[in-house]
Amino acid sequence: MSFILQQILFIASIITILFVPGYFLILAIWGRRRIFSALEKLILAFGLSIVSVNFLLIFIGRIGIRICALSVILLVTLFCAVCFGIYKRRYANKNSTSSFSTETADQDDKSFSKNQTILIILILFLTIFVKTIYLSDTIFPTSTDMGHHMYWSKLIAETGQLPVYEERDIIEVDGNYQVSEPRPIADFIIGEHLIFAAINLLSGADFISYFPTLILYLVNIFGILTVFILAWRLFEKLAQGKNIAILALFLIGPLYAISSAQAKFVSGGVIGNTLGNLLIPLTLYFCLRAFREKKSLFLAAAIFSAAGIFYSHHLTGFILLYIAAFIVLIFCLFNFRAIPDHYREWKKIIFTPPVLSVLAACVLFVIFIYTPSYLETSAVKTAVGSPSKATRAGLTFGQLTFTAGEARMALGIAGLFLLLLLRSRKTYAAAILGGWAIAILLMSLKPHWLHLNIPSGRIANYAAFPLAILGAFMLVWIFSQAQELKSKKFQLNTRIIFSLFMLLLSFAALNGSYDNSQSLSVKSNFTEAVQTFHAAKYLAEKTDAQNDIILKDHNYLVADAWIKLFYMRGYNYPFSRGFFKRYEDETKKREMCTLWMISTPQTADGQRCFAGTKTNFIMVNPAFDGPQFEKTPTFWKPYAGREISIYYKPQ
Amino acid sequence: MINQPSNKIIILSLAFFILVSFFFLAFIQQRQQNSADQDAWWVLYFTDIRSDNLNFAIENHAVAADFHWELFQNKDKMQAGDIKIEQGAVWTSNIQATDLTGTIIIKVSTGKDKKEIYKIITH
Repeated sequence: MSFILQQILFIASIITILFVPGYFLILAIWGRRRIFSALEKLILAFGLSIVSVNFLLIFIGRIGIRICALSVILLVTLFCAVCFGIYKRRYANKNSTSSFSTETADQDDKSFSKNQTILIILILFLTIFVKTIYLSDTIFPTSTDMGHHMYWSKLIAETGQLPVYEERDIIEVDGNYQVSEPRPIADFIIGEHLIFAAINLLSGADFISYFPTLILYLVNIFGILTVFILAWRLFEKLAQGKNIAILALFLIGPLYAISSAQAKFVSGGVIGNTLGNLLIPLTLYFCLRAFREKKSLFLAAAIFSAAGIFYSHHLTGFILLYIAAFIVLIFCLFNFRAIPDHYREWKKIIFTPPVLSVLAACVLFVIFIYTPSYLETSAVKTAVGSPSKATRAGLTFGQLTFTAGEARMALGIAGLFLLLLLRSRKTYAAAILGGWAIAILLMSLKPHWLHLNIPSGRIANYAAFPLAILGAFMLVWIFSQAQELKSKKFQLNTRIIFSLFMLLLSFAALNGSYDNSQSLSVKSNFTEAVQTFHAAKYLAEKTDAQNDIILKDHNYLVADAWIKLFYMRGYNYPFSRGFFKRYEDETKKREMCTLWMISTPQTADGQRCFAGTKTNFIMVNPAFDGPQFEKTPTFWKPYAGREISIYYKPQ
Repeated sequence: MINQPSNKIIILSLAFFILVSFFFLAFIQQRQQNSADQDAWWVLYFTDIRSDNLNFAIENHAVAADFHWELFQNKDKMQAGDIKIEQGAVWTSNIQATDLTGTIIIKVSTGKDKKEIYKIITH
């Protein structure tokens, strides 16, 4: 297929899967009323499409319909048709002229000035430019996490069925080693894989190519855009609301565009976290509008988005629960006396047909259609409790600052204090933003306060977004103070405050740009990856699952996690010698065979492992692991490359 | 219909930036997949892993080069040859020896770069 045609199909499949369903869902729920700006509609359609498509594919998978290109197209078409039908029934006959004048006024609220538009476009250009430069060195599929995830996506595409998340492992039984029966694994959640499978089915794009990274890149961009519109709505009551949103876009877009949770997570294939950074702001957006505008449809959408989180990434879902708790806590704290009034209002929003229907549908879906794998394996129990390792005992402030970015951290913390001190702390906006930030900060810094047992570094990756919004709020507040003083003719104070504003803005810009420059020095290693894939393909053509067991190394081979996609014989096929430090981890005992069979193949332990597991092929980097196999009487060497060699042990 | 001109311009700009970025990155990756952009590498392998068949292939992903190959039975050189392999091409040998036993080694070199593969055949 020509490159151009491939790209056209790829873009068309993205539009079909990642925009159209969400757009029609918005149409069905809100009609064509100008409740959203065009930009908001586009951004919300993306997130809602991901959630909708995930649930739809899970549903058809469970009722036994094969997931293939035809069924995906028909499903999306049917879903859109149903949504359109609902829209027609609910809105087509309604006379909207009575609200014309308010809608006209609304248009101005949803528009940006010429300068603001230019600024937004410039920020978006810089964001995409910096990320593109970084990704151009990492676009070749090499990342371990992405390789693992794409195995499951490819399994869905090839079998047409929902995957069973399980793996075989090497176990010791009565002193002998053998390959176990399949055991469930909780690390993967279905929502991380379905959209990739769907896009592969529609476009024909190979999994071992640019396509998974580009999809994740799109999720990252729309995560940033969702934060932008959330910031816009959070501060829409303020005169400088749009400027706060634009500044937030600046702080999360082009600045720190590469560091963890941004482009690095895209190239690293950290699908769950990246989806989480899209769906959390999406959920909060709908929550904010639900309670501020007292519209139950928004709350229903928030619950729908939240449900999407729980089917996409367990850690994000867990964090969302804490965020929700802190939002409620902060709101109640600052509105203590008015709780009874607010409670009456909440009841009117919560106990409504849309909200109760969505809640009921979610519960029924979990019970009768598909229970997320992490619930079935009781993974939740391992997430609560006292931290079991040093990496779960909380980060230092310095470590969190390093993750979030110094400028963002400083401005964000200052913005948080400001938010909680001002009179506006009583608003839903303050509770949502403050609760979001405080939850992430406490979970990262003091997990033991919250009875948490999750790697603190992973939670810290969620800190950037709320801190960016708070930082933007802080900066604009300083600027507006300068303006106010100027209008009161305090010239000297105006200059000081304005200088402070420019200084802080420059600090943020330089710090974020410096962070980008540090990350841009990554060297591409696609040549090594190509050789790994060549060896994998060679062995895939000459072996079979029944008679051959392959072991490869993870320490010195590039893109080794993608080798399994050439075989599709099980998640843990081929077996892998993992990072050396994992075999020394006292808190999590591992089998040692994969270490012995490569590191010390001629020892008694190594030989017992070979005999028990029937491993007969080894893939290693000859520069590091060749000597222990070379010219021994037990191994042949059928394949010799620069970066990878294959050794064969005849039975 | 979009009645907010600023939104329309932002959306169009965003779509343009994303499309250009995607096209560029996809193009880069496809180029990397082809030999032309890679660091030079070549690989040597037996066409049949398990049997006594000693035929081997040299796959060249560097510029066209001369390759010299030798077949050893233990330490004795039994056969040798020279070939020129174009970039991206695969050359497969046609070795007729079926009665060789011991450690049968195929050594291939091009310039200073050498590789070898071997089978240990016992009848």
